[in-house]
Amino acid sequence: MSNTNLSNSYEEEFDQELVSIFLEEAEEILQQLDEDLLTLEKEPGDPETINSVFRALHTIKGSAGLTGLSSVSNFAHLIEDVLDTFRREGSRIPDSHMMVILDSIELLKKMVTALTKGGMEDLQERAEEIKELLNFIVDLSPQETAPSQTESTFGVKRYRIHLNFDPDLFSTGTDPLLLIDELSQKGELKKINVSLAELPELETLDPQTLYLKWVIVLDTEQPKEEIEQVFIFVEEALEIEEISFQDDLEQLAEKNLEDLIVEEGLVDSQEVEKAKENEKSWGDVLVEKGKVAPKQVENLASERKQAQESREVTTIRVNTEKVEQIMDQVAELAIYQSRIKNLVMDKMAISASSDETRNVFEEIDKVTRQLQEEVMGVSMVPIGNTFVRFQRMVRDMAREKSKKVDLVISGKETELDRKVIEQITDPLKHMLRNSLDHGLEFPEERQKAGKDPTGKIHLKAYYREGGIVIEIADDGKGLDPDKIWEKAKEKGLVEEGQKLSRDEIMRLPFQPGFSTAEEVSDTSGRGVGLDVVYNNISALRGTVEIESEKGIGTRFRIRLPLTLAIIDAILIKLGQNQVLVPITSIIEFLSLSSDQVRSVTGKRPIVQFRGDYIPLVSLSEILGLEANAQTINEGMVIVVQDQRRRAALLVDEIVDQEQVVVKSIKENYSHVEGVEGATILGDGNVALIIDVPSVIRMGLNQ
Amino acid sequence: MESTVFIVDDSRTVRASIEYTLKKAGYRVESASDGSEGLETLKNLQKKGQKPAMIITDINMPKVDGLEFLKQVKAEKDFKFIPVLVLTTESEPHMKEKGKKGGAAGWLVKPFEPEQLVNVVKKFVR
Repeated sequence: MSNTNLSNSYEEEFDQELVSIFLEEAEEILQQLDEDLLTLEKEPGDPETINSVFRALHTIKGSAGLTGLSSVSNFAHLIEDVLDTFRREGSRIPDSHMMVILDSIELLKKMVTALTKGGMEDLQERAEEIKELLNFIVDLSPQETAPSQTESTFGVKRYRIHLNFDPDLFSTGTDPLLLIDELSQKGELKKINVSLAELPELETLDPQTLYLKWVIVLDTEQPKEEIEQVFIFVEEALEIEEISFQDDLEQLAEKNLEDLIVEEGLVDSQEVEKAKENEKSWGDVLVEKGKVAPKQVENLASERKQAQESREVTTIRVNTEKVEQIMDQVAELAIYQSRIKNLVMDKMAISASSDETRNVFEEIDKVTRQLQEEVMGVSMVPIGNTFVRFQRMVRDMAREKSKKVDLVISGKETELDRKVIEQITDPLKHMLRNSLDHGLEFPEERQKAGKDPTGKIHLKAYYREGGIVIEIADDGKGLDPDKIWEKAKEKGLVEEGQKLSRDEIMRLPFQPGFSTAEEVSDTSGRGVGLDVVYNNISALRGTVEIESEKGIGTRFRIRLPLTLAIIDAILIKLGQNQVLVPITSIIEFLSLSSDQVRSVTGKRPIVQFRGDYIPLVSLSEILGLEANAQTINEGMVIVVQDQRRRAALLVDEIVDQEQVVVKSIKENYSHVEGVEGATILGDGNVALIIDVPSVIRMGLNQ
Repeated sequence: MESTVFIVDDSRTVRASIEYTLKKAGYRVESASDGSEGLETLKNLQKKGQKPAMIITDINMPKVDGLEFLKQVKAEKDFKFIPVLVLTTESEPHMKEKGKKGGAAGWLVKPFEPEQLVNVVKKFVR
């Protein structure tokens, strides 16, 4: 045994001081104990003496424990327990037992003496003996110990905590706000609802009574026991339920306000029932009577609305692959349906029952289309969740950059294909960083320019022309076309004397190797420029454009298809082949005559288009297909563009506009330059879908 | 001004250790060695305008014990709203209940770690 088994939390010098205080005190107590023991030898059962012994042991135990002298404390504790057993039972201590108790107290005295004089080790053996004897006298099998902490839990959990304090709480001197304050240190208080329902009129209010009840939602990584620890002295007031984040949202979104107001602990159901008996709206009654504050109801209603907006629509989880398979199957179904319709209607052209047959086919057509739309809808999710995540990112980044910014979000409910959302998230992130980094000025600069020191970035989504548009608009310094021009020249992207329209200059930042940042910054620099953003968006068959006004701000407008599975395209003919050109890349159809084509020997022919000269490309040559039209007089021209360039494609014939399901040929065949995919048309034929940017590139390299 | 915590315990060791810990945590500390001295000291402190923000009392004390002292404190209209913490030991779990019934705000089981003490005091004193 050691006499230096001290609590680490005390400083050494204090330990010494405390030990000497203890020794001084212990000496007095032991003296008293000696006297008591003498009395006990004469009158073994004297209750008053036993009480005195008991108290002495109790004090030694407590003091020794606080001083960190656990050996002494534990031993005193043991004797105390034995005495306590007899004391509580009120039974007389048998003489034989009394002997053991006297011996043990004698040993305790020796232990205390040994603290100063040494020799604790020698007492060890005797102590064990006596412990055994004491245990023999009274069954001191270990008391139920506090349950050990349940297995540690990781990750944040959400708890709903109900606090129904005793109205008399104040009389114990407990301040509930201090406890809630303590709770706030255990995690994040997401919500604090106070029920005012029991709060009486001012005249009848007793300031010493607690009328309020709380319902608190806490997000914490700490185990539930930590919450209980906060309210340990008022545990009867406490009710904790673990709720899932989803449940919380679901509940908010789904329940009606009446149930919510009760569940969130603002009033109890009786109050609501009572209020409903009234002719006026129950909500107004509750507010009028002061049962709830109007603000509380407003907040609840707006929270509910938010929850409805932001909760995920999925109520069951389905592997996205399955959904894709269903989509594919439905698309096939549509194709075969249209084929069989053609076949049957051909055969029955003159038959009397053709009207009826046609009607049935039209019904099937309608149902198939609906089915297709609905299946497509399954994989559509609102973009809101993604937007909301940006809010935090922008806030953190603004702090880091010492800029002030409000991210204003709208169109959260706009839905689009999950895959599109996944792939647009990074480009959006990058563009937001770009706006914050290069668009918005520092607060001082803004103030000097007469602007609000807090900048604004609007992030919004909306449907337009069968697709979705995402806009990122800042009210920063705007893009300076002269600066862009200079930069592009410096980077070798344009040449001195080259004439570009303002629109074209504005598209330069999307060129590889261009960065408007005057110095590379951590967030938006690092060599990754807007060209990467552009490529990502193109891969989604989207487009992006910039509008900017110097000193006013910059707006990026991204147009995306709602889904990657379906594409709007123009069906054209090249000889016997049918080819699809995605509609998003098409600017115009032209019918030109050969005198509008200029060709210089050794150079590719060009045509004039809106005051500009663009290359004339034979699509059949690029794709290696036979075509009927060998000259421009025999065919049609489609003007297409990617972000940087335009080209005029020569084709035989323009057939129709089609909405088709894209099938990857990469999966079944291999990547073919200039081809994005294929589809099966209504007549059962296969048509290739061209990839416009690579067709333009190939054409220019011809 | 820092808040005063008032300690009533017959053990000098206990008083010294509590005093040390609480002073380090930024509280003023006053103390008394038993219940009867306790009420006396409380009244004196009140006169000096140093009414304690909290009382910590042992239960097992000679003369006036902790539960009796608690009763007296709760009977005084000047003191009844002072939170009282009772010090118990593992061997007397029933004391928690007794203390609570008597109007104690909480309890602390001896021996305790200094942080435990400070954490409990913080529940009641700003």
